[in-house]
Amino acid sequence: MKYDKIYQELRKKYTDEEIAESMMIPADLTKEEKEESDKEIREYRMNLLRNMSDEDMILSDVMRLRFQIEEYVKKEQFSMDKTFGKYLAEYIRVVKKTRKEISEDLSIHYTKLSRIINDKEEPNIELSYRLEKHSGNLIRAKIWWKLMIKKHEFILVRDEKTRKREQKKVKNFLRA
Amino acid sequence: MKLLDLEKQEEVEAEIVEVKDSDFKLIKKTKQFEFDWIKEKKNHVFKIIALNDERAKPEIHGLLSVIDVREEYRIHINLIEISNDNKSPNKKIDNVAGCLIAFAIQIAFENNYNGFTSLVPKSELINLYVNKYGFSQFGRQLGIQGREAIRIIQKYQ
Repeated sequence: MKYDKIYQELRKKYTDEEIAESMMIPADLTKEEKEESDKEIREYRMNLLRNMSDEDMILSDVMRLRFQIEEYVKKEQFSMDKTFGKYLAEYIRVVKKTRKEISEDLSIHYTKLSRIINDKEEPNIELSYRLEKHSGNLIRAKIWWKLMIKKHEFILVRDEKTRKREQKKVKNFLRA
Repeated sequence: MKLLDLEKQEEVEAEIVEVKDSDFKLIKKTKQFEFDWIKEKKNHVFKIIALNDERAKPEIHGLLSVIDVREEYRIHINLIEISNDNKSPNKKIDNVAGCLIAFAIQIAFENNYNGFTSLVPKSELINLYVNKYGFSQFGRQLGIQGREAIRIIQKYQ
């Protein structure tokens, strides 16, 4: 009764509501009870999997994609394999639509969409808002926007040609 | 993840990271947790800390112990506990438990389990978890998945 003993102690200080708010305490099951409980959940789980609708699967895949993008944006270095365009292509695959259908859904010209997917053209903020709405707010505009920023930041620090060209145009600069 | 500082009434950005071996001693030493978390070492154990806490050892606001039940495509929450400073009625930080549950669900989505997350709580607490978080009951177990699971993530992340 390893958890029950502590639970009984906690009840002397807190109500059940307060305990439930701040803890999830497992039941102390006997071996037989645990086997029975595991069997129940296994059957329930397998039944759920068999009866999953296409829409449920799409929502689940969109959530997975969201966490992949968040992980990349927060922790990984920029990669040309993980641009806005690449993730947009993945989003289209996940929601099981054609590029034509998505271009209509998002009110964006098919050619423009294809250019963005192929990293031939940069997306804009407006597209981020539209994608947020299209994903049922599951992938926020901010996350799409961060994908753009990540690429721009990578290019900005390396683009010596543009830096030199643009800095030649500057006058009266501070001499630090 | 966003915690709520009740004193300042402002949101605090937080992160959840895996507990390291060296953390377990600290968890015991602080006396902020009632359960023996060293016993959870066999599971995946995570801690939640505030991002603005710049101390070498940031304060742990809560702990989560989960088991990846791959053959059943589910994440099982074995134990969640919030630090004593954040337990009701005099808690300083709110939403700690919600953020930890949302994180368990996140793992279940990342692992392609449709967000399915289960637990076997003490029977006295079942109704409270059902009402507060929207878990469904089947036998001794509680579970959440799909839209209900997404709702928790949208609320706490």
